[in-house]
Amino acid sequence: MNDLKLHSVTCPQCGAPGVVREGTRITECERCGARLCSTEVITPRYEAVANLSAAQAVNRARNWMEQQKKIGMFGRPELVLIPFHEVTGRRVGVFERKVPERKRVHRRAYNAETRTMDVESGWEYEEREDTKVMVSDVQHLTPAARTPWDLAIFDARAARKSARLRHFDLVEAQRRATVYAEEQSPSALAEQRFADKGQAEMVAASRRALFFPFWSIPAYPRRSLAWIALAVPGTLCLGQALYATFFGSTVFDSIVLAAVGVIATGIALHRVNRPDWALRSWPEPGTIPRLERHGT
Amino acid sequence: MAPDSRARPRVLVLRCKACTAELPAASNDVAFRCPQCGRTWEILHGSFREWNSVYVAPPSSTSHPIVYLPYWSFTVDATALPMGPGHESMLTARDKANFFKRAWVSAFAIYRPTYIGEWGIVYTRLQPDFEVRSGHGPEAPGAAVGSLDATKIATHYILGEIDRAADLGGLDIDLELGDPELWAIPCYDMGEKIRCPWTRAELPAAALDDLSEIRRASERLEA
Repeated sequence: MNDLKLHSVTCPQCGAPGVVREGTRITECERCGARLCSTEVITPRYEAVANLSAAQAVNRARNWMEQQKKIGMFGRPELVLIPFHEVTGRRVGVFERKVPERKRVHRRAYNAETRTMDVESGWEYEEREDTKVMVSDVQHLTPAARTPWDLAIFDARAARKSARLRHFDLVEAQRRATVYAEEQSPSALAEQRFADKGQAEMVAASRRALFFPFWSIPAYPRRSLAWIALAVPGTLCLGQALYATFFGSTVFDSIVLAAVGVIATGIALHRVNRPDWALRSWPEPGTIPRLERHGT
Repeated sequence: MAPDSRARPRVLVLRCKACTAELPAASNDVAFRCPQCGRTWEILHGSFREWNSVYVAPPSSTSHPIVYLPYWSFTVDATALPMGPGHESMLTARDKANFFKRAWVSAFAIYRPTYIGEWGIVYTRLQPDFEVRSGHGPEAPGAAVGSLDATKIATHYILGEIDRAADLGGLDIDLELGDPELWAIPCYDMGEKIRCPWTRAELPAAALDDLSEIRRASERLEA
């Protein structure tokens, strides 16, 4: 699922060849033990630390199902790591701009009726030139993988605020979770977002891949008996087909009956065993799990 | 799996060029502080460049564990002269420009610094009289922000502060920043928050991306 790219390097101290994983900037020479640092800016990978255990996730899912007045059974929770690309930096610049300014003006006008000079007050608007110094933050956080469910429901920016990050090790992560692959590089995202931003200059820009953990819990609610409507005619068709095979002719063609019986029984078995719902929750205490229809 | 032979990144040995001690580094660092001789080395254009490095003496009463945060610091020589007869605010801007002797920029990776709190600009505004020391000192973390970027940010900090007093368009500004210096400034590590002993400002721990690596550096020092 996830491609582990390796880059070959040569140790400047002992000349030994070595490899570094993509996204790793600091590595150690296997021969002389020297710590090596890449001179290029390599996209670091971080993982948001999950604070919710599998048991806690199932408990939360059960509570949520009870609130929804749904009864069901849960399958084994699976930890899923979804990559997001974060492009951050600071935009600095000095801009000339025109600021609208309002001035109170008092005009004296001759009043012919009273034969006096009256004062008429009003507002005048003029544009004043102003120089503005800007230092602002830039942050873009977008999903970097295609998932079977819509990631737009997940508020990644809110989760990022409370998420504690640690260095992401792909090999170690794949032992305990399903890791989704990144579909494009964060550099491509940065180029796409900040191609032409006028006078502002991006400084201290960093591009990183953040892996957010989700618990995926298959749920089997006891709610539908629709499978019976398929299982009964399927079994009857299969029985008729067997009868035709062993004892003679029937009303319908035995091959058609066998085919219909196999398909209907197969669909019924699949229907009764398939999880109707999958709960996917950002594993932080206090967040609301989302319930989605399977496959949509 | 075969390594990609097309992309061959250049690597440097993380050793101090002066004393050959191993440089501690977090995964995101671009500048490193030698724990033995206190020199700072930054990777610039594919090779190491040396900068001056100092650390701030920790407060005398340490009620909480101390963690050192890296900052780029620059000496500032700024003058802002009013062009023609100006408003009183022009004179305020002139005095403000003279007030800045040093600028600081956070060198650690922080999530949305303008929103969460950038202590570099706070120190620049307050101009605190830190008791600085040079030499080996604590095993402070390196910088995740490059000195070139920090110079640009510091320039805009100073210009922004002068602009708060009076419009820059009516001022003749002469601004020069000195060479970057990597400072290690101690803060209280309160678990969920990081507190500055001098300003009492607080940062949420989750906002610092490499805090676990910065803490590890402090733990090594205590050991």
